[in-house]
Amino acid sequence: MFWQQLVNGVTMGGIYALVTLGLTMVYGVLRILHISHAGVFALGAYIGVVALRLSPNLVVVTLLAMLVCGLVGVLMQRWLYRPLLGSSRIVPLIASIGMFTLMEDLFRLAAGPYVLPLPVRVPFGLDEVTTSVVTGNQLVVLSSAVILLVLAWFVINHTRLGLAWKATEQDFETAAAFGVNVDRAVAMNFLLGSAIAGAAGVLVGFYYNSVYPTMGSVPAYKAMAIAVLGGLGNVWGTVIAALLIGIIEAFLVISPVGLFLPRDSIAFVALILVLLLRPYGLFGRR
Amino acid sequence: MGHDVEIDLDRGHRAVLLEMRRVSKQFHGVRALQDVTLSVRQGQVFGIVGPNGAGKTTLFNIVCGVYPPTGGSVFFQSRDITRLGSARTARMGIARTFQIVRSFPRMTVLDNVLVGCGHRVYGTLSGLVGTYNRQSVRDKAMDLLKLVGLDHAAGTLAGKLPIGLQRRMEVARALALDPRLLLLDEPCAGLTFGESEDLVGLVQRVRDGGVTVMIVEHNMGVVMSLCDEIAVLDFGVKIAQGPPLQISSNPRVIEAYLGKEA
Ligand SMILES: Nc1ncnc2c1ncn2[C@@H]1O[C@H](COP(=O)(O)OP(=O)(O)OP(=O)(O)O)[C@@H](O)[C@H]1O
Ligand SMILES: [Mg+2]
Repeated sequence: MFWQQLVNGVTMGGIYALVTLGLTMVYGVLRILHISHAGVFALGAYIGVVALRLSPNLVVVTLLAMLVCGLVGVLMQRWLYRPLLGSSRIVPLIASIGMFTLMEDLFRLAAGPYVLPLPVRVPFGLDEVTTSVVTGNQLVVLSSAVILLVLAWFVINHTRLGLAWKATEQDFETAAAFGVNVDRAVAMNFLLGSAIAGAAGVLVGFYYNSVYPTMGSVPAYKAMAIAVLGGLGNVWGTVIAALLIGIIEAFLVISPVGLFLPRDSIAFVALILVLLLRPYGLFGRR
Repeated sequence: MGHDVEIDLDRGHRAVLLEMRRVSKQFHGVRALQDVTLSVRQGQVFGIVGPNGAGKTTLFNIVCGVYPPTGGSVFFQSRDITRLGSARTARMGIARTFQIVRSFPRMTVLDNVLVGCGHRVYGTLSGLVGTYNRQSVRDKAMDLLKLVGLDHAAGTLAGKLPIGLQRRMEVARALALDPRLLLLDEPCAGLTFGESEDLVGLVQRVRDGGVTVMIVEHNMGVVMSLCDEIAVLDFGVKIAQGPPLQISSNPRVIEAYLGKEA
């Protein structure tokens, strides 16, 4: 029971980490709260549903969702955030919330208010492997999450692009003075963050076998809470915070407290505590 | 401009590297630069002096493409760079340091220099996949840190260094671009006498390595010993240009300085 719940928690934590990563990456470079990131997450799931017609293979479906979501992320940066760059920070935030609402309504208009299944086929029969502790589906989600997080880690810490992001975050004018194409670096930041959110959408759709217009609502606010917990802009703090929330949720639902405290509220209780006690996040300094 | 004499120095016959033609810049009515024309030849150390607010930093910012001038144009290696923007001019080989130090404070000293090392790929596909931890690149960055005497501080966060050392780090970071033209904006400000002398030596080595240098500096000893040619700005207007000795005896220059600083 303990180990099962731990695996449940880590699985959800992995998904939260994937969704939150893009949010925190964008905040890290642009200082914008990119709420409509959760819309990109839901879009990923819908792209997954459409991609099923091409191929039922999970890898193909995920890659397609990542591609489309990555491009949509870049378009948002170009058309939504870039024109608002000079204005006060509340303006892009409101635009982002509006964009998110628009996306949810578009999903409803395009696909109807139904819950759609996402019956992908998993390569190597990974989903058939079932032990007493971890189900095949969890293995699929966990291994995908690990692959994507390692990819993000590599790009952030070991490529020039990652270095350019760090430089842009600290002083974009100086970064430009040393040859960094700041605009392109920011676009790449949206591309990677949004692609990973799209993959998370497919994984959640697959895990619960359901895709619906408002599936981004709870992640939108939960990811925000997790990003603050991890210290906005702090990628590794975010991953750890995501795992913590996932695990706490998993154990809470089987404890007596779970009877009156709904699962989705944990992140916010933690958020309130952290804002009161450690306003720069769990791992923040200053 | 009667005192604006072009002198044929021993380097004078070399090719023109940078040319500014009637460059003007206004900020909401403030005329920071007015019709400034000058050319810098390959291999020169070219000094820009003038009282506070004369437009020296503005001139550098226009050369680097931080903002475009309101009039006139800038040519680098005979190419019009007036509106290229700073990332492109950096990749063409124009590097700079800042009057007020601008390190990336939450990055290590080594990473600061590595940012400069990446200029050739930042706009390209290999910028995405290329790793910056490759040994050859790190070696180059470490060599530059050794050159400015900062190799021992490679792993320190830049923001933790005292200002004097951050200035030296800025020089290393600028050299990481393999620049053809290096712009130094008051590199000796806040340095001790000994540190200034080190810096003069460093600039001479850089110049001997084939880099053309433009330097803004208030320390006249430094300017006189380093520069092959000097341009004097006053209220955004170039009032004189020539070799150091000629400039120091120029009555208009003396007037501009005495009028401001004495
Ligand atoms: N971004 C800007 N916006 C508005 N005015 C500016 C701006 N930059 C410079 N100025 C004005 O332009 C004039 C020239 O400034 P600049 O910084 O180029 O002088 P400087 O010669 O570098 O002076 P200092 O020796 O003090 O560094 C000043 O009057 C300054 O106030
Ligand atoms: Mg200045």
